Amino acid sequence: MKYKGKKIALLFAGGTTITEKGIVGSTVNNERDIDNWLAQILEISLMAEIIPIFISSKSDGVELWKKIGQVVNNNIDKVDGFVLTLDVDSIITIGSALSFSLQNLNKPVIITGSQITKETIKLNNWQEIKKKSYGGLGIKANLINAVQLATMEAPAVLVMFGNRIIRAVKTTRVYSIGLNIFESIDQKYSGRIDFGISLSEKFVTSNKKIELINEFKKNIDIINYFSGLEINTSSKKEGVILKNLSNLELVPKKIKQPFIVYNRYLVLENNILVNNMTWETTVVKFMWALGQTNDKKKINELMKKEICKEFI
Amino acid sequence: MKVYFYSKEKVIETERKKIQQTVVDDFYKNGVLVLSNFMAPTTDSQLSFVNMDGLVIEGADVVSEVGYLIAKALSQKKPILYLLPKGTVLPDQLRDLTNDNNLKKFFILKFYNLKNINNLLLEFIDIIETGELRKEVPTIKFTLRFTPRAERYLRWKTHNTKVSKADFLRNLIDASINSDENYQKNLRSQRKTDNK
Repeated sequence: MKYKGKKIALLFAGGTTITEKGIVGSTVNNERDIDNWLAQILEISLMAEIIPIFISSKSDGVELWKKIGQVVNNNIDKVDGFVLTLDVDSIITIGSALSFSLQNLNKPVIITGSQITKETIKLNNWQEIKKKSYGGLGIKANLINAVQLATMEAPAVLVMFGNRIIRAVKTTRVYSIGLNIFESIDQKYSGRIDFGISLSEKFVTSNKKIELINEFKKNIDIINYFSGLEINTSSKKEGVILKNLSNLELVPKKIKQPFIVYNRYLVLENNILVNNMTWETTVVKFMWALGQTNDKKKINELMKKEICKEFI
Repeated sequence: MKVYFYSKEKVIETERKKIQQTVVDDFYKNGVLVLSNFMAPTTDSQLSFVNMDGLVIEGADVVSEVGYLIAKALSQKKPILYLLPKGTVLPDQLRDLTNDNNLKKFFILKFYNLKNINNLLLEFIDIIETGELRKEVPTIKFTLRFTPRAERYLRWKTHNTKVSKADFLRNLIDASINSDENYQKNLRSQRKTDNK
């Protein structure tokens, strides 16, 4: 079934299981699985011409973030939008990474995935959870919504899950399993699903050429502060994040590399303090900023500059 | 029972405006709650697509929204009644759907006019109520003898088409059922008696 309408690139990078019956047969583990998988979800070809691209069977590692960014960048002029399937555990981090790496994005990049894994189907209350979620636990419902959203004017990296559409950089996970496991940190949604897709965010399409800024530093230290404990960091790390530090005077003088303090509840005007982004977005943005420079001042400037509507 | 009815929001043709209203009125008369893209949006969260019992689409002007609604309904195994004005052609986008064995059993394509629309809707209500599309599957077998002349006609009529002679005859009978007002009245009176 081929619909000669809009062209949507479907990028496979994990999170593809359709049903718990025949979990192997309904999952894309390599390129050869794609045809069989698409045959089980023929409905999506009613909405768009689907161009499948296999990237990975698991959603893990900075190298994958970079690879996905590269694939989007290489295909941006060939399609009308992208749908990216990911394991649910990686949706926020990879979504945030793409939000920073794909500058001047002028096409939708819609991320979704399946919650069905070998582990979830073994849960005692699995059938009950599934029933409550109106069958939305598999990728089918999410994918249909995601493909439709990718045909619309929504040039951003968005998470499509359950009946919510959220900017990846604002997404936070609130449940381990269920229909709506993600919510927007500030309760501002880009859109919702009811009988159709209703976009509430007014998107602006960039007329500049897309720019891929795809370097992330992964050798960073994350120190979760707990009152009374000593703060130790290694000098071999390229950057440091001090999480939940209650007082900036507690920052050890010995930290020579670029660093930031993350505390959502600390109200101060200070260049090193980040209190206006989700935790995942802060870490990814810091890794991305470090990928561009190791100048402390420039990194702090980048952290203070809104890049992709990430500020709460 | 709840159905979602999709039709082009701004129709100019008087007949199609009438049809839109007729669909809503007929469902209402038969106790079916209708939600539609051209009606005010509901604030009741229970009235989401997953809680609908069926989908009705009217019109040959297929927009992206129609493909999306059909895909959603098919993925949730909900029956779809696709109503096309008599004399129009099934859009390319949906043609292959009628050839897929898994999907076509949920997709009912009917050609309507103001005379038969009521019967088509009643049939669809029946299909939802019985919970399955069983009645669409021919199960009764009997021997039928034709004259050579009739056989020649059947062969000529179905030659180079994908329709078998049997399907051609079944379609003729279906069309006759849909347009036979007396028979439909009889069915309705039977249903009323059954509900008492």
